[in-house]
Amino acid sequence: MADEFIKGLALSMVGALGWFIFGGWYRTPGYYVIEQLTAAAPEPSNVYHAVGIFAGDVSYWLMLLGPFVYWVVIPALRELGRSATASAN
Amino acid sequence: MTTQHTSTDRTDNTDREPMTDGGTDDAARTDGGPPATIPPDDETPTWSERKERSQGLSRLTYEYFERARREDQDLRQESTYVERDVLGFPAWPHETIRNLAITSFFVGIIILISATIPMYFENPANPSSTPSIILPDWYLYWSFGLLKLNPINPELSVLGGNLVVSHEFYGVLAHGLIIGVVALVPFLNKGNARRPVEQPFWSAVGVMGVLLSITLAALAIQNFFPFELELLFSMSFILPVLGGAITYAVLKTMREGYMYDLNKRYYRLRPPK
Repeated sequence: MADEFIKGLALSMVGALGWFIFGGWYRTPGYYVIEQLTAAAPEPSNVYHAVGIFAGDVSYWLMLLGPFVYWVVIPALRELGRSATASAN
Repeated sequence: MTTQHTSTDRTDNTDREPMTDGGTDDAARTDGGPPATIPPDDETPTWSERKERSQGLSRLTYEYFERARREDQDLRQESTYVERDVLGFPAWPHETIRNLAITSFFVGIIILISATIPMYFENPANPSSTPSIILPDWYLYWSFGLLKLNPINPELSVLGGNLVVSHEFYGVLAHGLIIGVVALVPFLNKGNARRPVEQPFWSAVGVMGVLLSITLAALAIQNFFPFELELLFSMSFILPVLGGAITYAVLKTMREGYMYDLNKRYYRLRPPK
């Protein structure tokens, strides 16, 4: 259980850090506007910017889905499997 | 690097020379004596045995903590400390290495962020013009929110519908009320509970206070909220009461099955040996 917790937390923190950096590069029009890190990304002018915007999206969803998988999905699947074996026996 | 400690380490600096006042160091010292070094026993694996184990980091971590726990236990048994004294790990290397690791981690994060998203300079502030929105630092938002209580500043009909005090002074008076309540709580409750469940009422009071500080902070930045001010104002006082009531109900329910005596025994300071 503790392992699953730290995996989810680590994924969330790594994703948040990546989102923070890539969002700061591509989705922050200025530090004095309300909407930061979530503003619409500009159209990428070359492949590096496209990769950067994509990595930012990946980090963002890693921050959200990482803990969701390790704290909700995997324990739920385990519980399902346990109840399935219990009802089979 | 050698890990061989002999039991002579423990006794070589116990000094039995009489001191000028006739006593000895041993008689004078109150800290239980020099640290007892724990010799390796049969359970202690050699370094080559440790290397051969391949269960990886989790096994290593387990062994480290088990070893540390055992050393701590042996220290307790061999020393003349009474049990209520805390025996910690040595500052070097245990605490230092751990703190260095934590420090390096945070310094690394700071360097990473400052290198990847450097702050740029904006135009210099103009001291001759006040911004349209002025706010204190975030930890004083609750205090700023108390200055925005003018909807509940009463107008007295005997004064012809005039205010008794100005809105500003009313906010300052509200500070007196809040600070008075905060100052009063330690006299009403000594805080000897170890868990919130032991005193549901005072836990609820605490939750209400925390929620009120948050909602008052929200009141301070009221123009950031996309709904009516009246609703925000009402929620600022309804939410803390609601949260307190829920806390009280939940903790009252949790009291069943909570072993007060066991908890008291666990935390009681044990008498000296």
